[in-house]
Amino acid sequence: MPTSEQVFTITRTLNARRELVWRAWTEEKELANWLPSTPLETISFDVREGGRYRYTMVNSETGEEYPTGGVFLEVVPFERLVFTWGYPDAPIENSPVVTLTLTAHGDRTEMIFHLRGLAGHPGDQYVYDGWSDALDTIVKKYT
Amino acid sequence: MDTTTLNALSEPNRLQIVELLREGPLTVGEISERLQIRQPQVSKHLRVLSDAGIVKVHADANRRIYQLRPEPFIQLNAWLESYRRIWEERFDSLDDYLKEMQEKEEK
Repeated sequence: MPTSEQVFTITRTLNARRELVWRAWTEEKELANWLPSTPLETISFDVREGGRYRYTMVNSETGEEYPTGGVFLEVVPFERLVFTWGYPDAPIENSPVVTLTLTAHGDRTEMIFHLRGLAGHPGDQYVYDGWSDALDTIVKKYT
Repeated sequence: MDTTTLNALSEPNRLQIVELLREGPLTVGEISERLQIRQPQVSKHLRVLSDAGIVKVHADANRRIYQLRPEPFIQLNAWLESYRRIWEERFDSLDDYLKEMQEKEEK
């Protein structure tokens, strides 16, 4: 279940060194190997603070395209990647934010994925943050 | 996903009212007092919440008592869960691919 700060959190221990996990998240040709139905030519990642990324999932049956993208807000190599997650050119203030944290445990890596703020008012920190906090507790109570 | 619920909740005072009602049903006067918001304002917010299906009202003698309806929150939760599932599936795929990367490196 969600914690009090995030809409949801997924924690996984991956059987790979942290450098490999980082590459899998930040290098275009590696991303193409695990993002579902995402052709390499649609992937563009400018991994630095303020840099943009985009990729497009393609439904192989209908040919329908689902572009996704955002801006890197924080890049700490091998450790931490914070990025907005939405439509490729959506304004930063209005987008959900993903925080990816990698911690090395020998040859394994703990990956924590937080997704926060699925909706809110642009530029209104209170609403943005408060909303997702409240949602978590509300959701907990009613389900 | 119907965005009516999200829109209704994305206003600080309305959100506060919803949080307060989580503790139990209340009248307009009680909400007004607890949150220090004027009654006409509270009524206005309750109307929006009610139109969005988030609260319902019932009359008890001459008092009108407001309480939360669970349905919109169940919908929200299902919607959030669908996002979680999408990412969980991706991470299965990431895990598999990392094994391949690791094997390639070891060769």
